[in-house]
Amino acid sequence: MVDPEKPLPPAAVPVPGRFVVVFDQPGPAASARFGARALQDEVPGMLEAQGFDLDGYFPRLGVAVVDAESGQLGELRARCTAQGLPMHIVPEMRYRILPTATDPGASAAPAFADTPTLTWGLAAVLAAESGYTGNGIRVAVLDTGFDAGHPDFAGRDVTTESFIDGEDSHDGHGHGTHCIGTSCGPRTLDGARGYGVAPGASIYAGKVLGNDGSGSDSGILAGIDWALQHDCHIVSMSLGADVRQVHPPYVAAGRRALERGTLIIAAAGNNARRSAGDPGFVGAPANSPYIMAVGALDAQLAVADFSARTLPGRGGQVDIAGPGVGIYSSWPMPKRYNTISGTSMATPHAAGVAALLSEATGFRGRELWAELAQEAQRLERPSVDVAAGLVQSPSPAAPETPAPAPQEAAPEDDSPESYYGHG
Amino acid sequence: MDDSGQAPLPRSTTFVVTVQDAYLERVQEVAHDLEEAGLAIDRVLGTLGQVVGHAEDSGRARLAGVRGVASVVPERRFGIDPPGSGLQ
Repeated sequence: MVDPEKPLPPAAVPVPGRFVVVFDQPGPAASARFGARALQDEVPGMLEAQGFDLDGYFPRLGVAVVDAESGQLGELRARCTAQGLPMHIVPEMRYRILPTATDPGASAAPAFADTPTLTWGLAAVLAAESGYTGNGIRVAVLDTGFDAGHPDFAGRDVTTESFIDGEDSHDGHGHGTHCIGTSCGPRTLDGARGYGVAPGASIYAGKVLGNDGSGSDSGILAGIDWALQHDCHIVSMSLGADVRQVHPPYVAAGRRALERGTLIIAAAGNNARRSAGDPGFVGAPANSPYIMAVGALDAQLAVADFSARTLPGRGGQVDIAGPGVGIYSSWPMPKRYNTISGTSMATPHAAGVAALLSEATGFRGRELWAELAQEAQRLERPSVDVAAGLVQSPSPAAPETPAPAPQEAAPEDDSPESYYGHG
Repeated sequence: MDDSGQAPLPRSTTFVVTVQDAYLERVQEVAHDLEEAGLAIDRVLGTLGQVVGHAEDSGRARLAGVRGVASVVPERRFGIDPPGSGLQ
């Protein structure tokens, strides 16, 4: 138990005379020069030459924990700089178990709302703050087609195809145009509300559901095949059937797509009626193990009443969540806009964020899946409903800056800077 | 009622056939063998490694026995609510 009267000790304090030497670059641009071989073969010799004990060197990590004096560290740094080996040095810290503390403000969820210039969904996923637009990323939306003449998409890179017999790719329903709007529509509009997460992405609109809103494996799989032929990085599928059984064709399709660097994202399903005690279940194809399933959140970041819960068994989990209640986006002309709800709306939010992350990191397939989960904002909601949490866009790329100087006085050496290496 | 006096036609089902990983480079070959085994082919998805076609209900086991076939399952239908519905 924590005594509220007693001040909490700091979580970590530096250990006098102990330092951690990290042989790596502080920035994301990894040097090919400094591979695993150098950590194994070159670094130990350099450490020994400076009189350091190798007991505290972990070659697989490229990290050495050492007893050191400032002069010794300065010499090591100079030697590494001369060899072109990036490194930095930080004080070793002593850690202790974090006390359990309750922050009365922590449970108060923020409430998002549409503004005249931005939807609440874009605000929640931090799309507007992101410097990325999905430029160079190809997003396939397999749905009811697209109103390619929609004025908000003038000048955009759009490829369309219909997999429905007797229907062209025009969206005679509205659902597809809405989903494409959320994933790839404009983020800013002159005098109007921006609603698209990745406005720089190339759009591949595959019509796999007819104007009546229904479709079958034949068209959906043909749409996935088409997206793979075009090397789309992301496939967004706001469709599903309320069946518990994993449908085998989508297991193979999801796996083969990932192997080719394409991430398939699908709606978890709208079969829950939580207010009536029914949490529902993730249907096909989102319940396939290699397809990312997206649950829906409302503007308080609570689980939407209709949003399906994780189904027991491999693949049946909700993997991530996105805004899915009261979502404003594009609709076929002349209506132009519509506001609707569903895990169908959460899915293109995730697909759009995936495009931004893909642009920012270069990650594809499984790595992109991991990045979405890693960067998601954790929510105080059951993991069976929101899993990794709310999808979050990457922060704007920051200019390369050296690591901040430690608060401790730097050991004396002849460098005018701190004792951090700048490799 | 069918009063033609003829036996009713056997029911035809659309099947999705997934090709084994080892046969991904030879999907057309597997499709040809599936055709021989009674599948009327609608689509060959060469990149994905799947073949969609229709055959008699009773023909499924025969299709599953074709060399290079991983699975044969009946096609499923998917749907969303009509455009007027607020929940999609």
